[in-house]
Amino acid sequence: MTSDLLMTSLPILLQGLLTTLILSVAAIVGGTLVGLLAAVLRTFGPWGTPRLARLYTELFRGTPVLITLMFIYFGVSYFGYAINVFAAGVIGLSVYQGAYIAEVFRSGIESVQKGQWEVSQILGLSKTQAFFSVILPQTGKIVLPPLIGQYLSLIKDTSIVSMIGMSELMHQGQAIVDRIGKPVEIYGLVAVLYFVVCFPLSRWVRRHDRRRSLLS
Amino acid sequence: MSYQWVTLSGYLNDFLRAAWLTLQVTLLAFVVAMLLGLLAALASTSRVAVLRAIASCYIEVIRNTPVLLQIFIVFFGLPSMGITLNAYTAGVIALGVNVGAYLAEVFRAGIQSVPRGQLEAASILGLERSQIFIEVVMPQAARAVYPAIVNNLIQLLLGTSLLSAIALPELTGMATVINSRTLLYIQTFSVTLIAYLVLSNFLSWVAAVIGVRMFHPPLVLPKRARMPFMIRRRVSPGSGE
Amino acid sequence: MNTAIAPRPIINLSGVTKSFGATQVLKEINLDVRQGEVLVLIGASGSGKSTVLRIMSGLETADAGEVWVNEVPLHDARRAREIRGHVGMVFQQFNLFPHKNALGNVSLALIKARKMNPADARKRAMEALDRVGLADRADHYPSQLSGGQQQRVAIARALAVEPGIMFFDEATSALDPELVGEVTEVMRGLARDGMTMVVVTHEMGFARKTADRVVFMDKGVIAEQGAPEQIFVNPQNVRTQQFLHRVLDH
Repeated sequence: MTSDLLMTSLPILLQGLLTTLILSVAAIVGGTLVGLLAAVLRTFGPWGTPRLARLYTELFRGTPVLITLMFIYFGVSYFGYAINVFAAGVIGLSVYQGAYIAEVFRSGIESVQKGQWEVSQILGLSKTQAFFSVILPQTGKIVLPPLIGQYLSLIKDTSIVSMIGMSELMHQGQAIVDRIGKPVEIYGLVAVLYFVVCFPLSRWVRRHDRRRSLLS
Repeated sequence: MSYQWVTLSGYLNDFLRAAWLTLQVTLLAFVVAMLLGLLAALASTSRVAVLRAIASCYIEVIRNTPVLLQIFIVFFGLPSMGITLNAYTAGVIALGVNVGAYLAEVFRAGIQSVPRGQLEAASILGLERSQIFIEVVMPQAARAVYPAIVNNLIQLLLGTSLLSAIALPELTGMATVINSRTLLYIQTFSVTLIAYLVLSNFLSWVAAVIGVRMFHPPLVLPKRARMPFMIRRRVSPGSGE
Repeated sequence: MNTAIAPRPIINLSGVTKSFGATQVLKEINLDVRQGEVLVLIGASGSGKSTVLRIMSGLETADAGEVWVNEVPLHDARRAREIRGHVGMVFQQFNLFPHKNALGNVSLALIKARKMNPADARKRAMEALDRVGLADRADHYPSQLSGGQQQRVAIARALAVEPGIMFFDEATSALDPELVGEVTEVMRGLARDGMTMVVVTHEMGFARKTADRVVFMDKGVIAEQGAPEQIFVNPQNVRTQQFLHRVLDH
């Protein structure tokens, strides 16, 4: 790759990377909130909501994220409203990853031994108190690595938002290639940028994931 | 409202054809992924350091970059190196290579989950290393990894939606085309969504039936092979991890 | 008790030393086992008795010293493999293959390693299962068998290849007490039939009744060895006395 090419394309790509990161952070926050809500509803929800929460997770884990994104983006305009790509991206990714995050939380909650619940009850704590003071802190430790793993997924999924027009890293790469060609060099550079962001996270996850085996 | 459904039903043939294409790509890419995954798993546990390094590179690069990018590199990048592929082949290769990296980890874990004591027992009985692998390790590892493999198959199915970006007329691509003609976004996407749900459930069901027949004692898959502890390895349809 | 014992040693260890990482587990072990002899190794955990067994069976290699088993020099890396398929080993954890039934477990090595045809292998396997009293359970899978039955299948599996020596690594330690008897009964039968056996065990009763020689190991050396009557009734070494006191009188 010539240094000319590098110098002209890198700034544009870095801009795209910035957008990617902003989009990622927004979706991470959104997804975590949605996921936490779904997990809590699934475990403690009033009558009917656990079922709903389960349907939600099953639905979004069983359909492609692209469809969800397009549904939101085009669907909204169908009803006569406008929504910008960023918002559609954040909502779509939050709702989609939220389903996976919900499962991470749920298995974390369930893996905290039953005994903890019983002890809390005997000590006189209400269900809410028990949840926040006893269960959640323990869940936190177990849940963090797979959670970071889902965030990692999310960062990579931001590339799909390029397909509804968001000019994040992937899109910028495409734009450059459309203009000047050289797909191998440009997409290669894009790959390096994604790798630099993702690799440290995935290393961290691998090192800290407590679950002994994905098969146990 | 009903006139819109009538219009849409005119496209039924297209939908079915697209669904069939989706299924084809899924299964072909799956075969590629299984082969690559097994090779990479063997390489990553090999005593030859070079093989371990190659496997490691493959797995890390794939798992830390978006699958959409990988599809683009295969479809747009290879021609400038002399290999031109049509969307179908590029899709099969890109998805196969992608899921293969995830399967590699699954296989590796499965192989390593076989208790060492059995390897010792088999060795003392006089079995060769290759025999031990085929007769003792593989049957047990296969049973252990089966749910995770099915999971990845479903993810592959959902991943085919990204091939619409290289103009493959699979389900999502077809939906986009129909949308641009009819502007019936909600209805079209709803149908597409249902189509994916039907396909993924169908594949899960077939896998469950095979699972019962293939193993002894019969392996019963949890509902739709989606167990919480597999979250970590679950490839999200977009890209991965 | 075995009366027909040949004079030349079938197993010979001289100057065998072994370390795992920073820990030296065996220190200059010299030990002979004669053909037809039943040798029992006792000692506390960490004394090195299992390591001796595993070196004899070829699962571990000594860091120094010579190991001759059945005329095969296990200390020579190029020839060590020759021992495979000619000795039998029974493990504490049974290590049966869960995806095969009893008959399948016993006949696997015959078909794959010995290249026998399936019909002959089946016949030989059934004979081995019969010898341990489990011919009627040939079609059962390990998950359908009790611990004692599984271990007996494991013994049959080891016997089927007609080994010259049988090694037992705490074969009864993982069994519920009431199941220990059926396994030690089979082991006694083998001893009566003249099999050379090296047994690591905590079952002092078995050692007393069936061993030709008892070796007490302590911290990587052979502290004392001799006939069971000598060791159990009149131990000379202080460490032996302490060990037996701890093990027998609680």
